[in-house]
Amino acid sequence: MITGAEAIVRCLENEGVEIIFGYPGATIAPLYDKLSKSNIRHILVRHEQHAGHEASGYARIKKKPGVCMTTSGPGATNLITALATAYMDSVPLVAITGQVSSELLGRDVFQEADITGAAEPFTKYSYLVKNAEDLPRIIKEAFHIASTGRPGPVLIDIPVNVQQQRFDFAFAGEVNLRGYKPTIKGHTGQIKRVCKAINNAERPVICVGGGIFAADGQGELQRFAEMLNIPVVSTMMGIGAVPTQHSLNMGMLGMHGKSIANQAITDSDLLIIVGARVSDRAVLLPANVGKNTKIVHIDIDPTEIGKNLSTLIPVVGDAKEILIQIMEAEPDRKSEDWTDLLKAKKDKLELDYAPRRSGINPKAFVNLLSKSLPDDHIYCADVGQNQIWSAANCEVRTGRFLTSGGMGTMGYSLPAAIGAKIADPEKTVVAVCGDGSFQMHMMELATICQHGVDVKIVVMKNNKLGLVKEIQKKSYKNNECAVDLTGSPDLVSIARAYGIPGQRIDSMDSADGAIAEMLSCKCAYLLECVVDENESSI
Amino acid sequence: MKHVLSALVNNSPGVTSRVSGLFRRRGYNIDSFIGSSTEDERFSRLTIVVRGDDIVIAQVMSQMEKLEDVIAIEDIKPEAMISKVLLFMKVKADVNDRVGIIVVANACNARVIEMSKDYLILEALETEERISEMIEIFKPYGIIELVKTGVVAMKR
Repeated sequence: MITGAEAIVRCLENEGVEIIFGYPGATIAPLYDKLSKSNIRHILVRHEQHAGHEASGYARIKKKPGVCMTTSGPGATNLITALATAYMDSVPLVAITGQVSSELLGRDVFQEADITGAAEPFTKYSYLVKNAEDLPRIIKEAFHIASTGRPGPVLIDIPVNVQQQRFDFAFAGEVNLRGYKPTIKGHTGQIKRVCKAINNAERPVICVGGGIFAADGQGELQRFAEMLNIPVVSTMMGIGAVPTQHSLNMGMLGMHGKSIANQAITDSDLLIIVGARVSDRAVLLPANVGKNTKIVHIDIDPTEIGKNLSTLIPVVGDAKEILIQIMEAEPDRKSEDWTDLLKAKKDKLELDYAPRRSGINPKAFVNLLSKSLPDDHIYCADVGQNQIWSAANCEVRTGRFLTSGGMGTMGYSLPAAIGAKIADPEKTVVAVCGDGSFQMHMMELATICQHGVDVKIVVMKNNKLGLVKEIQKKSYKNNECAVDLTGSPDLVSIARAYGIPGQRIDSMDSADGAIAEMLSCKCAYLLECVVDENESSI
Repeated sequence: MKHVLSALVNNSPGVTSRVSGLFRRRGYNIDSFIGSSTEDERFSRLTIVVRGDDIVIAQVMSQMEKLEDVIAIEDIKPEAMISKVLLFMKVKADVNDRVGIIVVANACNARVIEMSKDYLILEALETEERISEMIEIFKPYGIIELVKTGVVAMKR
């Protein structure tokens, strides 16, 4: 006989869990007690939301579910934004929350929150465990559901008495869920139709989204694009699926994307969407696409197909598998003019990298920064103008670009960077944020120090909530309100107070030196970059 | 002990979810949950069968009443209630069994609504107890599939 808490630890070990990001409390205390005796490393965060984001950054790099753990009530509700963020970006998480004793459920006792109910719209699945004997099965199912099909967060809410309950432990058998059988292989009939459409297309474009990373199919995508000489555009979540400097990569599409990418979609006669939701930010006027464009949509989630764009050829399954299937069917495209035309246009694009009268040029800076980083660096962009500067100008070669694409959660970059660095300590990891987003995650500087996490932090400081300011300028007659960040601290001093070195630069002249110093530092580093408040995002 | 609660609620999106969410959150045991439109299109009627002692039922009633969308709720006493459950049941019925099943069905006040060479589909509108008995009676013949509503009830 062992306790529920011991059983949870055994099951987590059995799932290969090495790291848990968490924050303790009364109702999760039995589990913490047993976890401390395990080899699983616990990373104590400074806010529960960041436990979720760190697990997300970890999952995206480690390619397996990230695990986070909090107590009941406020601990659990603080996690919700992270669950929603992971849900929108299809990141596999297993979130464990403590809960009040099961006989007290529904009585509004201290630190009780109906977290399975509250998180219902933001989780792929959730469990409220009523009996410890169910734990082995539930934990196995949770990892299975989180990591297969379209990945996503799974919540396991475990009352404190269930953690203490003693029972005869046995590992669960194979997972068999009648209502959950994701399709992996593409339908062969549909593959044939795709090949025919490719063969007949004069102006095909591939639009790649985050699904390609979930399928781990970047290599196949690049091979597919090269084999058929088809230009590639990406959503924000798809950045880096094909290296940003690849000749076929036309950049990010959408509201904040490259005009050439948007133009390519508008002019195309065949759009091959791979693992993308084509949300409002990606395709501004979905009704206009498709009039003259045939759409092939490859997605593991059949509900995404036809949701935002009417699709001619849906292919449900794993993006990597389907790309392999298509290549094996040997499509044969003859026309080359289209790709050459786009390439020529791309070469003529003028980049706005000129020095500024005040502050740095953030576009030039992120470009320079990413060029200075090793090829396989991990670049975490926050939300706001900094995200758009980064998405449009940073070079992703063999590494990854991590950002909160769907939810647009401010304060994601630093915790995601921490998770990514812990997942792969060999990689250089940078978090690029604004001064608004930095102040939503700056408590995690303590997590960095406590656990010796070497992440580089770049803060674009303009003392404004720049993106909102831009919206107010454009759509609200320049009525600037609630976007002034006066009162913010000196960020370099804040970092120093944590023992993190850093410096401030206010001109591109010092950029090279500052980046070199930051990268040569063997520990975390904060670089504050002064940006003019009127700098536009595009 | 089973209680039949009859609630008049606003006919607007999300009401069913709020009521069922309340039951889940508070851990009340539902036997059945039926929602339908009423003579007044502004309102819907929820008929919910809940298990619990008097204290639990009193809690359920006040929690329900607290919901902004719930206009009135009543715990209908068995003696003051007419209630029925609708059952469809597909029963194996080859040539040898067919007549026997029809005779039993008649005795149970069930109607044959479809017949094929392998099975019959029966329909019955009866009290919950009678429906449960009927299912037991037909089990030996082989029930291929059955579907039934929850309890719908009205105060006399």
